[in-house]
Formats: sequence, C-alpha cells, structure tokens
Amino acid sequence: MDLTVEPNLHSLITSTTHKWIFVGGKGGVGKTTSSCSIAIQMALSQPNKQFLLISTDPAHNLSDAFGEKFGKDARKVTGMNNLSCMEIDPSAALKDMNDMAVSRANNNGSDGQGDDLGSLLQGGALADLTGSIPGIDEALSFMEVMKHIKRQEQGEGETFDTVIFDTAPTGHTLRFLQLPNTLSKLLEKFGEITNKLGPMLNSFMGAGNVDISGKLNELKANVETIRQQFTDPDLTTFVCVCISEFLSLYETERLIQELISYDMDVNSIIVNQLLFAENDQEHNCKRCQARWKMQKKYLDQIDELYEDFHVVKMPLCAGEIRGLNNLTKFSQFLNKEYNPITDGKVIYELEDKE
Amino acid sequence: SELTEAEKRRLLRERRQKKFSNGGASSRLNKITGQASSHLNAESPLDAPSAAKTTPPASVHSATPDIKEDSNVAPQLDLLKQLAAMQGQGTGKSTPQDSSTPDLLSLLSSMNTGMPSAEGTPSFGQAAPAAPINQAALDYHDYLLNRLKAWTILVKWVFFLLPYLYLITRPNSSVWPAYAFTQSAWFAPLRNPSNFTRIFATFEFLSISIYYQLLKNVEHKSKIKNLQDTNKLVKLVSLVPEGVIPVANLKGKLITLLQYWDLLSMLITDISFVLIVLGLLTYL
Repeated sequence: MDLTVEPNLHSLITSTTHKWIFVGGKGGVGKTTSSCSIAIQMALSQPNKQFLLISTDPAHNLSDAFGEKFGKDARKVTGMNNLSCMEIDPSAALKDMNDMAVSRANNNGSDGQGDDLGSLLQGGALADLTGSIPGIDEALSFMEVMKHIKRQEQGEGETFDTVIFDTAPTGHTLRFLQLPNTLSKLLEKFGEITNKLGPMLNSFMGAGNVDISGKLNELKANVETIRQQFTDPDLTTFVCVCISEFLSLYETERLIQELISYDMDVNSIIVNQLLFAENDQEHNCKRCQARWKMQKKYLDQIDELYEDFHVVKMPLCAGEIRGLNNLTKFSQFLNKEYNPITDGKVIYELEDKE
Repeated sequence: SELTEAEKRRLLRERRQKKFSNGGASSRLNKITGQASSHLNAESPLDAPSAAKTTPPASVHSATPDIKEDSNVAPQLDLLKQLAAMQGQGTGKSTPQDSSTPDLLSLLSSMNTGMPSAEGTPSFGQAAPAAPINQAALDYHDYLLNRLKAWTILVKWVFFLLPYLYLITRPNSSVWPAYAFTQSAWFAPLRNPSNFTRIFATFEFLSISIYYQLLKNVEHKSKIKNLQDTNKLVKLVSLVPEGVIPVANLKGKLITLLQYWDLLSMLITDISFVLIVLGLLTYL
C-alpha cells in the first residue's frame, strides 16, 4: 500500500475533476504568483479545457502579474487560448447596481415617490452605502460563482471547466468560504419572512411581476449547489501558500484547520521564497546562509506536520516573476519539483519586466 | 494490492482528518507556537465546543441591545437587504400563509448568535464531526507490524538462538560434524559456554537494532506512527493541555519511554526463550 505523497502538484494540474481551486494564505507570501502558476500549468497540460483565474482580492494583482489589464469580465491571457482572467471590481459592480436602481426608481416615478428616490440615488448613494459593507468583495465574488454555475447549467456564454481563485489574505477568504452557509441561513429566514409578510413585502419592493418566493427558492438551490460543490473533494480543493517562517506557518495551520472545519478539502501547500543556499554557488552570502538555516528549521517542521500533504518547495528567484514567460518558467516547478542542483540556473534566467 | 488514485486520495484525506481530530488540532498549534516560544493563541477551531456554533437564539428583549451594539450584525443585515434588491425588487405572487407578526428581532438575534442549520444537517462552516479513524489503514499497519515481529522472532529463535543453545549444551552431538564450519577454529569461541553472555548480548544488540530500523521503515511506508497514533496512553497524554503538568514535552518523553519499553520487551522475550530452552535441554 503505497501512500507516499509527491512533493509537487502534478495530480492537481492533471486533474480532470476539479472545478474550483482556491489559492490562499497570509499576505505577501506569493498567492498571486502561485495561483497564476497553477492556472498556467493546468492550461498547458489540458489544452482542450478552458480555465478561468479570478482574483477575489480587493487589491488585485493579476493584471500586474501578467502585465496586461484585466477587468470585471473574463478576458483571455495574451498568448494562451484556454486561460482567461478577471478581477472582480466591487465599485464597478456596485455602480451598475446603483444605475439599475436609479433607472427603476425613475421608471416608477409617476406617483411622485420615484423622483425622490431617483434623486437620492443619483449621487451613487447605494454604491456608497453598500460599498462600505465589510465583506462586500467576497459577496460579489460569490455572485460571480453563482453566475458561472448558472451559465454552465444553461449553456450560455463562455463556460469554464475549472475556476482558480486568487484569494485575498486569509481573513477575507474565510469569510468568502463561509458565505454559502451564511446565505443558506439568511435565505431560510428570509423565506419565512416572505411567507408571513407576503403582500406587504411586495409593495415594499415595488410593483412588478417578480415571484419573490420562486426567486428565493432558486437562489437557495444555487447556494446549496455551491455548498455541496465546495465540500466535494473531487470538485474543490484549497492550495495553501506560505513561506518558511513562523507567522506564515502558524497562519497556514490555522487556515487548514478552519478549512477542515468547513469540510473543505486541503491537501497541498506551496512553500515559496526558499533560498536553497548551500546549492547556490554564485550568491551564497552570509545573510543567505543564515536565512536558509532559519528556513530549513521551519521546513523540517513543515515536513513533519504535513507529511500527508503535497508540500511543494519553490525557490526564491533573482528577479520578479511577472509576465507570462517568467510565470511559465517558474510554474514548471509545481508540476515537477524544483531540484536546486539541476534547476538552479532558472532562478537567474527570468526576463526583466520593463 | 495496488490502490487507485481515488482510493489513495480518500485514504490520505482520512489520515489527514484523523491527525486533526481528538485534540490533535490544538496539539499541532501548540507545537508550532511552542517551538517558536510564541504567545499566539493555540486553541483550534476544530476543538472548540460545537455548542458555541449552534447557540439557540436569545430572547427578543435581551437581543435588542446586542443588535445595536454588535457591528458584526450590520454587514449581514445589509447583505440581506442587498439580496432583496438583487432579487428583482418587484412584487411577489406569494400569499402569506398566516398573518402572525414575523419574529424579526429574534431573526436578528439569531444572526448575531448563530443559527442552527436547517433540517439538522451539518452545515458548511459548522464544525465537522470528528473524522472516523481509518480503520483499514490502521489494521493494515498492525498487520505489517505483527508480521515483522513474527518474522524477527522466528528468524532469531529458529536460526540462531535454538542452534546456538543446542551447540553450547550439546557440543559433542553427532549433528555438528555434518556442518563442517562448526568444526573450524574460528567457530571455537561460539562453542565455548563461557562466552554465552557476551555473544547473546551482542546478538541481541544487533537484532534489536535491525528490528528497530525495520519498524521505522514500516512506519515510514504506512505513514502511521505506531505509538503516537495508536497508543492509548499517548492519546490520553496528548489531551492534557500544555502547562498543566510541569513537564515539558510530556508526550515526546512518553513516546521515547514506550519505544525503549518496546525494545526491552523483545530482549525480555528472548531471555525467557533462552531460559525455557535451557530448562528443556537439561531434561532431554
């Protein structure tokens, strides 16, 4: 019974079942580089499938990582025909919602009330109001997931086989992952209210022909689908990214425990920015040696704590890992583990990004 | 038999979950913070009592001030409003099923304190029940250990101890001339009974060392640490929070002691075997 775990993400990169892959960890550990790398490797190894990389971090980095501008709509990465990226922009989405509300208020303004509401919203009141809600980014990211599922069910527009999330630092991500549960509860209660208050609520929300109960049930079903998919290890997994330092290790462990408490699968850890100083003949300074010694201490701990996880050890490169070429070069070590003796030269080969 | 990728993934998942259950999660955090002498919280969300997550809603009266004060409610309330806005903002066709006043305040209070999941099913975000121990993997590990022990004892007893004891008690037996090497000069010290203690001690030292290495290989292969994962005493000790007993790394020390005991028990078994065989040979 061979239960050895490979120190790479080959099984994930070649996986044909995974629909949702979350990449997360503490701030500044290389989440965006790692998520881009995973997305690139998956897209390269499965050319017949479509991949989408979504940034749910309010401070988006995808555009900078690839060196081209992405927006709230999915757009293909230049040079790859099966990888698209998008950055969810809460302010733009909220502005759309605000504009919709304004036009609706103006349309219903024949009784005089609409004008007041319309003028109130003209200044972007709704956007200002909702934009300040903590967790709105996560809520909007979640709406994207729902839209994606709906599109796939209905076969509308561009569909993606796998969605990779470049998540925000741990706290935001956990809130995002809690959303299906929170929404389920809210919708449950909301359903009870609509049943009890029926007509009063309808008049509250304006005159239209929308079946609120039907919509709510539909939404509930969608949320439940997501909840089930997120907890199915064949469909969803979480890749933790960390660096070999105490705080990062501590936060990774807490993140893993939270994810397990949500019943989510987590089996891979990427340890970034490793120096491998003893194999570096060119730049083996005293500081590098001291830092590598410290990194090794935590690497030993990581090896011991996560012997059943895919622990991928990634090198610290000499240059910035930006642009598709650099990312592709770097990402190969996710598929086949980095060997400091034979692969050492790659860390100096990254192109300068002007 | 060969495992499929899916089976392997499942077994690994169960093994991971097992390591985080039964107090293992807090112990891991303790280990991380302990080695760095950190004061960060080592209480695991997995070991928190699940009751805290399913606290029943507080009463209407007591809940009201909490709602005003607790800023955590605000985003959820706003999200609720936002959901309503997103859902078409129109009138519904549904009719009220009863005319009673909705219990809005208890809803808010529920949001504040957490609600039980619908239909009693474990919900996303709620602590997962402790993972079942992967009995198949443990049984297989036990089988490997028992097989190793049995083979070690068999080889030691049948191929060394028994012939050796027979040799020193029956040096003139007609059996020995059939084996030419027993008549050679370098074999003479083995035939000398006065060397028994030295030879037996050397043999035990070597055989126990080899046995220990093989045991470690089995543990490494099956990724189950025999004492750490299966011993009840170790499990009990790991439940004791760090600092309660004034002995640092109590679990580690206990595991070391148990390892020594495991090896010592092998030695005691061999000594017993030698005594029994010697006793029997005196009567034969």
